[in-house]
Amino acid sequence: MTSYLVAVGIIALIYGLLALGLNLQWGHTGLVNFGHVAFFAIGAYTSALLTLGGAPIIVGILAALVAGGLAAYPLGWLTIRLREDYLALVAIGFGEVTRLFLENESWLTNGPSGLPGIPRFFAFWTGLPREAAYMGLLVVVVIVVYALLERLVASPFGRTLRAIRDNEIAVIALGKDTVHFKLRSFVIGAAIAGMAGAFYAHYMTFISPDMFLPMVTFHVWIAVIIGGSGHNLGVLVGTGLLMVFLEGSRFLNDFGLNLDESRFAALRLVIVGLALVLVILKRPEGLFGASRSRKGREVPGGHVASP
Amino acid sequence: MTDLTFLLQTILDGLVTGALIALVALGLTLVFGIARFVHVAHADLLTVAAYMTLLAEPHLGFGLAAVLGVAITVALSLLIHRTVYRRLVGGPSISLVIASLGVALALRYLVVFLWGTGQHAFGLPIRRALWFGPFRIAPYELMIVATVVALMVAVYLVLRLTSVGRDMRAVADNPNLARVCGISPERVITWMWVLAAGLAGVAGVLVGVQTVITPYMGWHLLIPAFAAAVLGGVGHPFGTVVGALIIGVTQELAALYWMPTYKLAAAFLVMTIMLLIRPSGLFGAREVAR
Repeated sequence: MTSYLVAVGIIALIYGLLALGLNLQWGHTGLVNFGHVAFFAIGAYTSALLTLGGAPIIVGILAALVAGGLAAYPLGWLTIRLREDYLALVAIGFGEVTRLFLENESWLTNGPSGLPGIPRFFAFWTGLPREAAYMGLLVVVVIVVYALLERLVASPFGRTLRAIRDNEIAVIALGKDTVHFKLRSFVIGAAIAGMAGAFYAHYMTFISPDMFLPMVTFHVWIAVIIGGSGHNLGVLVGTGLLMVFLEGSRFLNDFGLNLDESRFAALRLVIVGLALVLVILKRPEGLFGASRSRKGREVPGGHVASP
Repeated sequence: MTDLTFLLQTILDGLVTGALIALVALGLTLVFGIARFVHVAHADLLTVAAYMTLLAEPHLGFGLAAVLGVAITVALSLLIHRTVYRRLVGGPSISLVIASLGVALALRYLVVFLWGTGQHAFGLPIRRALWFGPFRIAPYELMIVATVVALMVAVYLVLRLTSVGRDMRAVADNPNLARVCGISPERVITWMWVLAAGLAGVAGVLVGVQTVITPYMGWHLLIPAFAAAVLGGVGHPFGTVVGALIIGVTQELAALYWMPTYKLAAAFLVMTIMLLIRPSGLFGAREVAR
């Protein structure tokens, strides 16, 4: 039982990192990144390949951080200049293409068979102590990332991001280069996702392309939206609720519904989809987010003209 | 078969693929032009139409089942508009995008839940391919191309000649001016959904005829369709159709010369290049770039 809780805790903390990254992009800046899983995958593969090649784990983690950010840079540069909803579909496409790449470029990624034998943290321990130590490490990492993000969000940089989210035209009028601010937010969020990917790879010790399906992105989105976009602590609580839902529904299925694996996963995603719609309709600020001024009210039936 | 006929055959296949992409892309571009958001759930309407037709086919025969499948899809899109999208009009347009992602997930995985992930096919008889000189085309592909061309002409006539079509163009051009002129946005948006969902529904039936029916058949067309819209100019119906044909041919050529699994990557690449050099697309003049 304890080892089960620790395992769930580790996954929850990794999802917490993903959610913090997305929250910087969406919650604080208003960037619709529907391809978050791509940066998670890029981080996981970067660290896995480096450490399998003999690099120390810490180098792998740092490289994953850099790789996630580097992958986001061209994508953000390309789409952030455009209407905000372009990023949504371009990011979906990027997520799919990344997975296709991992499946097909076997010379690098070993294709669908995946990469086994990725080194662990605390390899000198075994069993529960090792898992518990890893969980402890992840708690520290999440706290550090959380604290850094809180500082970032409170800084003039963070205030500018929120101003862009709430009224981009006003910020442009103040003479700020909003594209640059949004791009930096996008890159930092993706770097955090890349680091989360590395921690995931070193926990699972085996990764394959089918662990990086679009549903990872959707799960993180629901955690952020329910927790309260723009509210870092709320988003972590949202991640906790997501894990309770995922694990609780699994428990229910094992002792009652008895659906096969694919139907059960489908049912969960139907619920995630409906929950997304409901939260957006009924409580767009999430459970914990302070209700904020709606982004520059738009012309009914139309859109704000892009300057 | 010589290399040249092989290449021309691939281009021919690409045009058929492009015709199917065009149906989805045209709906996507109509919603973008009139309701002003990227409708992420659009391709999943296609899947719903195919499964509804599949459900009705044993009882009604293929033709009537297809009509019913498309009708149900249109009704479903209107229901989603009334219960979800309409309530978000006036707020940030990005809420509509996120809500449409929720709708997409709910629809797609409801299909997986009810039918599983396996492949299905309509009970149509297998027909021998027709040969035109060295070129081969399946009779069903001829039917697909004929249907798509007929629908394109119909959409053009609706947009150009009917009063609701004129109103649609007016709203797409300038929503405020249209409102001041007494054009009811609700009426325009209702008809827009009838057109857009109807096209997606027909695309679902036709994709089911050409290949197989799976819960992800729509999802796989979403990126190519968006790429087509970007290429032709989002919100520009004629450009979108041209874009779709280009994407279709590119995908088939990529399958031949690169790798079959990289069809989607080819569409993505073309879209990326277009966004890089001309974000407003080949024919679009409206401001998409900031």
